[in-house]
This record gives sequence, C-alpha cells and structure tokens, in this order.
Amino acid sequence: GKDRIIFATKEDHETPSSAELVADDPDDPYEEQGLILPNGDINWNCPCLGGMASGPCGEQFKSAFSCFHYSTEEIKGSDCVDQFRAMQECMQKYPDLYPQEDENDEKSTKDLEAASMEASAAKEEKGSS
Amino acid sequence: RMREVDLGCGKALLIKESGEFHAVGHKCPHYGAPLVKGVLSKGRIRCPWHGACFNIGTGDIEDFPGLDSLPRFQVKIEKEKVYIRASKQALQTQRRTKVMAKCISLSNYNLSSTNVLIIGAGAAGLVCAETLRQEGFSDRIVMCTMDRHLPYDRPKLSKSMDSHPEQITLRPKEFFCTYDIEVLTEMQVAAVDVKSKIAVFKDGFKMEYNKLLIATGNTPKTLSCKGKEMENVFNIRTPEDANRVVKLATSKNVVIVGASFLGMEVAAYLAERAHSVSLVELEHVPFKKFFGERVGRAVMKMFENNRVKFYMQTEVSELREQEGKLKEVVLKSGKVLRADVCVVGVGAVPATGFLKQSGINIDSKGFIVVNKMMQTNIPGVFAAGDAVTFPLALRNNKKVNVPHWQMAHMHGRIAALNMLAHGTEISTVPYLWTAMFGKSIRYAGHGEGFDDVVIQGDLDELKFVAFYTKSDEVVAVASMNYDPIVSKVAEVLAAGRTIRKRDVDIVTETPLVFLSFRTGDMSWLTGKGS
Repeated sequence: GKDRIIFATKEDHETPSSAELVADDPDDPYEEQGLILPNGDINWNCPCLGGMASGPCGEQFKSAFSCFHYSTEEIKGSDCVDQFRAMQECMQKYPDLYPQEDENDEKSTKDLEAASMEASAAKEEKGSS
Repeated sequence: RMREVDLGCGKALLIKESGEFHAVGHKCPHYGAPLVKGVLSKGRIRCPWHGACFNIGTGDIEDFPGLDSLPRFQVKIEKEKVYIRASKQALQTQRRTKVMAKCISLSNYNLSSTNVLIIGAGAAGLVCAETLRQEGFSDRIVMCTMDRHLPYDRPKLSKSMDSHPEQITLRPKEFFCTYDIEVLTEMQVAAVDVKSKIAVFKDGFKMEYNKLLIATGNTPKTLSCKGKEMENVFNIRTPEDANRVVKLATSKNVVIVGASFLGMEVAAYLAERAHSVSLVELEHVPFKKFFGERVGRAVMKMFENNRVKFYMQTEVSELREQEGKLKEVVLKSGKVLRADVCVVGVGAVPATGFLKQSGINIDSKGFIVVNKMMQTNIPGVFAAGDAVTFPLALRNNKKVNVPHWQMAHMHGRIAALNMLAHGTEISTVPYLWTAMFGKSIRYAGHGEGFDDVVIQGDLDELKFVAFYTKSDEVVAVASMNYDPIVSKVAEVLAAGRTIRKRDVDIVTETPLVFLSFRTGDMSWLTGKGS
C-alpha cells in the first residue's frame, strides 16, 4: 500500500515526561546523582523529576515537593495541600507543557484492559494476514 | 520521551531516547495495552499491563508474555521536523510476526525420528519451537502434548471461563503447517531413554530425537478427603474443565477450595453467574503467602462486597453426594455448605513422574533441575516452564520454581537458543498478573521469604503499591491501579540495581507526585491512611 508521511515537531518532545526511578548509591562516584544528594538535600537536577523543577511552575513544584519530602505527618504530605494546589493551578495555565491526563482517559484504559481479559487474542490474530 | 502519533490509518509510538528518534507500533501485541503508558529504559519499552518488553530500535520482543513483535517504522529528521514513514498494513495490524524458517529436510526423516522433540505444548514448548524457526533452524521439530488442543492462552482458563479452545488458541492451525512445527495431540510420553535418545509413548509409539525439551508443566492437586472422586468436582486444567464448570455453576451453588490465584479468579468469574460462591481456605486471608496479609485482606473485602462468602482457617473434610452428584461440602470447622459444583485450586505438582527412571536430575519436589541455559544434567536434554527449577540471577542464582506464564515463555526462548549453542543465559525479572472483577494485581520480582511489606496508596480504594522486602532489600512489588509502577520497578531490577527499603519512600514519591498533578486527584493526601 501507499506510504503516508506525517510529521511532528521536535519541540513537542521537550515536555516533561514521567519520572525515572532512582535508587542510586550516593557513595558510588561513577553513578549519576539520584534524587537525594549525599547531604540529604533534594537534587533538583535529577532527571527523575522530568524537568518539573524548572520552567514556569518550577518554584511551585519545588515548594510542594519539598514539603512532601520533609513531611512527617502520618499521611505523608497531608500538610502540603496548599502547595500542591498552587502547583496544580500553575500547571493548568500551561497545558502544552504540563499535559493533564484526564480521568476519562484513565477510565477508558482500565475498561480496555477489563475487556481484553474477556476477549480472545486469537480473534485479532485471524484478522491480520 | 514517548508519545502516540496518529498517521491516519493507524497510530505509531514515537520515542526519543538519548537524542535519537524511533517509531514502533503503539499497542502491545499481547492484549493491546497502550505502550505510551509503559516504561522506557535503555533501548527498550516495557508494557505497563503484563510486562512484555520490546526493543525500540527493532521492535523485537525481548521479554514476555506475547509471541509477536512490534512493527518498526522509519523516522527521518529534516529541517527541525520529524517524519515517520509507515506501511498501511503495519499500522492496521500493529504486530509483526518474526520471520521464520521452514523445514527443508523433512524427507530425511521417517515417521518416528525427529531432530527436536518438545514434550508439552504450553507457552514454553511453543516459544521454543518458534524461536528455533526464528533463528533459521530448518530441521524437523515435533511437539507432542497430552492435551486435545493446539497451544492456548492458559491464563484465560480462570479469567474468561466461557472461552472455547478455538477462541483462545495462541496461533491458528495454519501457522503450524506454514512453519513446519508438527503438533501431535493426545500423545502422552511414558518414558524417556536418554542413552538411545528415544521417547516412548503410552500407546507404544517410539520417537527418536536429537535434542529434547521437556516442558510438561504441572498437574493440579486434588482433594484427599472422602468423596473426592465424585462427579462435579473439578480442577481447572483444560478449556473443557472451565466450560463445564460454568455450565454447572450457573444459578447454582459453587464451593471453591483454595484462595490463591486460581480459586480467587474462578470465584470472581462465577460470582455474578452462580447462585452462591463460597471459598474455603486454610489461611485467614486469601493470597497470604504471595501478597501478604494486608493486601490479602483488602482483596477479600472486594470479594465480600461481591457476595462471595469466605470460610477461612479450615479445610474440606468430606464431600457428600445425592444420586451420584455432589450435594454438600463438609468443612473441618463443622460447617456444611450446599454445593452443586466444587472447584479445587490447592496447588500443583510438576508433571515429571514419567522421568523417574530416566537419569535426568529431578529434585525432591519433582522439579527438573536446569542451569541458566535450561540444560539438564543430560547433554542435549533441556527443560523449561512450570516443571523446572532454575537459577534466578535476581536472588543470587538461588534455584527457584516460577510457575507463571511470562517465565514459561522466557524459558522456551532460552532453551531454543541453547539448542543452537548460542550460550545465552537467562536473565529476567519474574512478572505476573491476576485479574478479578475487572481489576488487575500486577507483580514483579521474587518475594519468597519476605519479612516486611511497605505499602503506599490506599488499600481500601484498591489503589496502592506494595513493596515486599527481605531485610533491607526490595525483593518484589505488587500494585493495583498504580500503573506503571510494577513495570518501573521491574526495569530497575532488570538493570541489576538494588532498591533499598529506606529508598522506597523516594521511589514512590515521584510517581505519586505525577499521579496527583496528572489526574488532578489529591485524595491520597487527605484520604484514609493505609
């Protein structure tokens, strides 16, 4: 069949992505520094934060995240609701930079999985050549 | 670093990693999961639902479940713009079956001799056969099975109990003809003579082999009490078992013995179809050994909310009949349960009894002992899947048995590569899932012997992640409604890194933060504690 050529701009890929898990050994000199620096401070440059500590909402993010990290409440971070709300409000102003995953999307993904449990994988197979 | 791109007649997954762009299919060939929601790490992407891994450069499947790979699309950068070129067909099918060889030397063989003989047509056997063909092996391959059917999707037997064998077959009949993978059904091996390299079948038929794979899986345990031979008492081993149970259970009373994966999934499936569903279990919570008490209790609540009754810390003492059919199940606690159907899910033993005199090394529990290349103590004889105990790199090469779907696939692949003398050693993180009432629990790692469980999220809402630790180390992780944390942890463990217990807070902090801003849901902050 005929090929279709579509393009996407490079800049579209500068958006923050989901976090990287970091469990690096702070004592290992060859390991990139993780989320927590050897002195106990948060490493705002950690790639695991997906660039959220910078940009237009960087300050709100740092404020909320610091609060959460140092929170000693029984439900960790429950004393940080204001900071998180401020962060959220800021991020909503820049939907291109901070894409919101809406609840409908999450629900439809779950429905998709539930349906796949019932459906037969073989049916899909036979449909292809 | 990953996003779906709509190309008109289908979507592609565009990936940017280490400054380079790649484009592959966007749906996992296993059950169609959106890979954009998966985990990207060092040249591969892991599916968020059941853990399959695909190379982002080639689209090739690297870890399982599933049999097919992703189609790969051409990416070109020109003047600050990214161009993707894809064939219409690939965009529509969203899967790529790897190129496979056929048999070119069939005439060299008489009916009773083959190059490769595979005993067992489950995931391990099938992936072994396919991998051989993918690597260009063009000699005779014969697969034999006690079962009536071509390889089928075993996890569906307890999750989609009404599925007929043809609906859950892993490859259509034509596939086996096209690639010269001969499948002999209803053929049971009675003994193996490793010196003469001959497999002897129950009906007297003998087959000579050059290389042998034993992938016979498990045999479910039955009850040992009075009346166990009665009609309407089932294990769920074949599609026929599952179909029959559904027929007999509809609008009737079901008693299920054993509250682990099989029992719980069957209970969930039958809950809205049967008149009553009762679960009998020795422990005081379901899944206690695997998921721990707290998770077990949370799951139990979900079942109770769905009218399933639990009879814990007891076992079946007797089955009573009326006119030859099951009527009542008597428990050691004294309780008598009305029962029209009884499903037994109390574990399984490896189907290796027929190898007792063979000289193949079998351990005290009946598992075939293999090394990291799936080799037994006998040259040319390999073993894979549920029937095997093998060194798990994740646990310092301790010999373990991992009777789960993903591992069976990986074993089959490694065995095939080593039949061809590649010298490939197994290196994978066990991954499994269980699905009940439309919800899934995902699990990765090897949690055997855990001494603590660190839980983040909300157990009551069934939105949590549980880290199983042994002294200071995370040995396994489970989650419900917390994607893609389990795939994330699986990738960290696969990279050979250790997650320390004290790091768990940090490890979950970042996903939690993103979860909250992405969904706008901050109830985890103000909700009930776990």
